[in-house]
Amino acid sequence: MYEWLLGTGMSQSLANIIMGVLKSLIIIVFLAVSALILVLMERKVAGRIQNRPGPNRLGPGGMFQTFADAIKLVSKEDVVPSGADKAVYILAPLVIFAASVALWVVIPFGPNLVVQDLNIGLIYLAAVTGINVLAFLMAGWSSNNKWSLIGSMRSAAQLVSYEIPLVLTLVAVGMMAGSLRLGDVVAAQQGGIQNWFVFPQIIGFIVFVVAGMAEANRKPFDLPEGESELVAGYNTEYSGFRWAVFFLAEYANLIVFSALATTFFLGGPSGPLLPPIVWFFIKTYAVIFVTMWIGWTLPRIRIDHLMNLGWYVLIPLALINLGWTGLYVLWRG
Amino acid sequence: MWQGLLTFLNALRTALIGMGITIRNFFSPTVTIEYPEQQLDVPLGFRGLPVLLSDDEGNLKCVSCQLCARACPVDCIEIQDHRDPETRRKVVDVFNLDSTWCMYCGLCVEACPFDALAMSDHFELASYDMPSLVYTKEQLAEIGRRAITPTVNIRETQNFGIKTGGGDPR
Repeated sequence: MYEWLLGTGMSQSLANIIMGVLKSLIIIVFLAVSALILVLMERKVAGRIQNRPGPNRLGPGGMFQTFADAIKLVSKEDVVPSGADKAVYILAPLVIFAASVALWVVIPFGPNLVVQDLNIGLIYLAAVTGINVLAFLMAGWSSNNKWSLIGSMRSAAQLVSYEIPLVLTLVAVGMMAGSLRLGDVVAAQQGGIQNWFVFPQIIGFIVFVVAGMAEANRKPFDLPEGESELVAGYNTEYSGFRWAVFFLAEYANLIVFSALATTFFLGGPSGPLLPPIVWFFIKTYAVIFVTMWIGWTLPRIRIDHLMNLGWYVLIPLALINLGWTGLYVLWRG
Repeated sequence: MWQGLLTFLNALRTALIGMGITIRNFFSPTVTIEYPEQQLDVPLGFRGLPVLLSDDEGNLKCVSCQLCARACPVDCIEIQDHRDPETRRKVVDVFNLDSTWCMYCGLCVEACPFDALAMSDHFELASYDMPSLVYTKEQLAEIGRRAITPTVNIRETQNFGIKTGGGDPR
């Protein structure tokens, strides 16, 4: 594609820009479609776990329910509360969406199927995941509503307790692969299930899943949006399309987290017979299913318990994992 | 820290037990009755729309004694009649039951001395226009003639004292 653009006599910088726009469009469309699928999947899984069929009216097995919901949301009135800080209020959904899309830059869908395989991919991921919380804070602060503010403060408080163990497990993954490039992390896990990092890194995997679910605000850790105590948390005042963007970003975060777990611990897009991208999605959706399964099993954790979990359990576990990884890498030679 | 780790391990164990329960429910059949397509039978003594019953020849049992209209606490029954000059019996001309007023108390059925009224199992009464919610004599007789099943004879069944149609339901 890039060569073809150059072949038409286009300058290199223009071709770069066009390729960049095309890649980001593909990512955005992919995220929107994934969110449509995931909303339905979430409701179906929740329904089945509670012995209900879930949405089943629109289309075969309720397939088109999410489309109807999306159309309803887009056609709703766009309300900006009179007490809101208007500029920040409007900017917050854009920031969170940009952060969710930006994460996808480094994730390898398959060999050569990556937007930009940065050589500091792991550091990039650790940096960009923090931007979400900025968007939550912007939304909560600008809404001029105490529920929103409490929700976003909680998400900031949550950040310090899960981000450190998360990054420590990423360090261990980098040590295993000997590189911070995600392409190399995947390449180090090629050649069968025994090479997956999940086996030597089982502690790291558990820490990553727990911290990652907190990162993606999934159910046992969905404190920033605890419906029973905070109405809807940071997005209480949002309606219509802006709310839909928050919702989309939430599911984008979920799928990012699952894709990262796949890439770091489950061999990424490697697998027999089927094409790599199919394996990537099979593994990603398996992780998503497990997070939904956990989410619909466990009740929401209390905020101080989450702090304790982060500081007293996850960080020591991540450090133990880091030490073990060092020994393992030395022993492996 | 060790205390925390032990708690964490215990939490993992209990979470796995809980996940085992939820996955069992995930694969077990649903308990949902999908209402418009599937319906549960209404229970005995159910008080749906009051309907007029007919005798074996298909004539209404109602003799227009007005007792039901008087028993009605919300005055939702309107009866008009004339006396047949040959048989000297009252003939019901109009028997309107305004279901927007009716509160399904069953007092009209209690009051009827001829078992001409019964509470039916007809409960899907929603409509887009108000006038169609006033049921006429013909409509009530028609619903009453359809075998309206769980109307029971109070003489045979202990039925919370609710009389739901005497004899054979018609």
